[in-house]
Amino acid sequence: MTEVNRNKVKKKSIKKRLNKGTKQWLEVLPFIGIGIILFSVLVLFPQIKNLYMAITDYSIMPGHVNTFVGLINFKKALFGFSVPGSDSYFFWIAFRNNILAILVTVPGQLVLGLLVAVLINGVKYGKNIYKVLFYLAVICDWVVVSNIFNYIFQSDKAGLVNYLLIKAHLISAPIAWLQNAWTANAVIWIFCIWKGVGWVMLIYTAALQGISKDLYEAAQIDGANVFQQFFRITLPSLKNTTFFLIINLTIGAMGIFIQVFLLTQGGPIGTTDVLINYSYTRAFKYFEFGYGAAVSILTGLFVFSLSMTCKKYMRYGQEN
Amino acid sequence: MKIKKGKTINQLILHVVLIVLVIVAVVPMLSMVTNSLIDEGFIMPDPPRILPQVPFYFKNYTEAWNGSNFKTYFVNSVILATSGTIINIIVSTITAYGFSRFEFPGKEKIFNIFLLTMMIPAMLAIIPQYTIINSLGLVDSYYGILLLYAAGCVAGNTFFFRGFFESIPKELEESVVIDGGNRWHVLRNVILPLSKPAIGTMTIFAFTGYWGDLFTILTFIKTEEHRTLPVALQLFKGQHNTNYGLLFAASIIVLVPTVVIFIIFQKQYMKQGATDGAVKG
Repeated sequence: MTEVNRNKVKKKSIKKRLNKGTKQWLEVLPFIGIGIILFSVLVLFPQIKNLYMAITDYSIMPGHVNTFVGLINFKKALFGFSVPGSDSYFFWIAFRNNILAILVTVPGQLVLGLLVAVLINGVKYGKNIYKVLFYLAVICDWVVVSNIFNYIFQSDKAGLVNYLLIKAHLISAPIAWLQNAWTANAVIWIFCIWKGVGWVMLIYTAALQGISKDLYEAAQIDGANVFQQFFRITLPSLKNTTFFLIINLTIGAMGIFIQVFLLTQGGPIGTTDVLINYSYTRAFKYFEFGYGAAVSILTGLFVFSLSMTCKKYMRYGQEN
Repeated sequence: MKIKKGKTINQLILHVVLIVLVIVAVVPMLSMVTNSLIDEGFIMPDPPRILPQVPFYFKNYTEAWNGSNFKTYFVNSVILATSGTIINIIVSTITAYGFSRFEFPGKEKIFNIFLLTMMIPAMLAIIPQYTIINSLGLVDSYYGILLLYAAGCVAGNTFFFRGFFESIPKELEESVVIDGGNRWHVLRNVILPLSKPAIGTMTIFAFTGYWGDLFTILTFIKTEEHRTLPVALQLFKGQHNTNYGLLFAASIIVLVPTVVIFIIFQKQYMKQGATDGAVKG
């Protein structure tokens, strides 16, 4: 083919490609149109609108003109936390609680979930019934189970947990679990772990079945004991599953909301609050939509960079 | 013989440890069932009971069921969860079919945007969502809720169904095309029938998700008669004192559909859990 001809073909193909692209879009639009419109208007656009709301004194009152206020809402959240009772003070307490929730509930769910999964993988009979029983908490409505936790962590001695602890002589007087900052946080963590273990267990049992039996047989011939087998074969084989779980559980811990909303409402005095509950309350209880949106954006940015960092490490893990 | 005996003992230990853990896992739920069967009024039994004792007190259930608007809320929940699920499945299968069988410019870019939004908790969008639904005049209307449900499922479910659809061999579609059928015929007569397991799984998940949904209703529904069960349950909680027997009886009524569906479809649940992220807040 000569040079001139090749150029001709190239030009033609760009035009053709454009036409082809339009044609392809027209063909596919009846299928993806509704989905993309819904997604754009009610999922993607809200994230952009969050930004608009955060930099204006947004109000839903009809006739209200939203004036530009700059980064005031962001400043309000981020700076001035040394003053107890300030907006920023509560923002950072909520942030701290999310971080603590990650540090406590992610390892908690991973370790317990793995333990249960390994045990279930080891039994000959009844695998399925155990799985169902451990998974029961996962499928139960959040509202229902949070009411249960409200009940068993009652402050008087008729509360189930207090009763059992007194009976076991671990405490002498009943604890007001949900009325004190740290015990209330502990209840929220226990609640998250209790509800999440079943899901982790399920993912791990699936992954455990994928590990070749030959590896264990070879190890047994070499005289490796159960613990050596666990740490040398099982754990390394579960590396990718564990990374997957860490990402999902971390996003989950940043997304804690209903637990706090139903158990403590962030109290006492904001000490158990988390970011999403904080943002929701400010918007829908105090009608500070702009400030709520600013908190949402900061939370979103943090979650996003966190999961991106995790993803990076996960890829790194897969390459090795 | 010796090895076999050792193995039996090992199995026994495993079962004992598992049973202890199962007890810890289910005691909270057991205590709910027990308390729902006690006539305790506003005073909780002291010492607390874990296992139910005869005679059972069923009046909590009848009282909860006949309580203020409970039946209305139940019907509302059924209507909303059912229609939400149907819309969810229709929108997401059609969209996923577009992404799995068509080539068009920007396809993977759009798909990646879908995936990115899945990394941010969906609740963060609720404030602007409220203003949008408000400007459409759909606050306090089920249409608004259904729009939100339909929009919220697009990203995750397209991801889920696309993978499934792409595993269906293309050759199966050719016979439909030869017979003069168009793409819609292919979707309806080939893809959807072959995707029954995936659709079944998603149906269960969507239904139970909408059934237990609290925040969308709490945020967008103002009229008392339009509320659903999760919101209604909160009404059983008193300001200072709660009649837990009544609350738990109502909770169990709410839980029954979810648990029944779970037990019938447990295999599907388990499979889904293992393949999908399923980060539900």
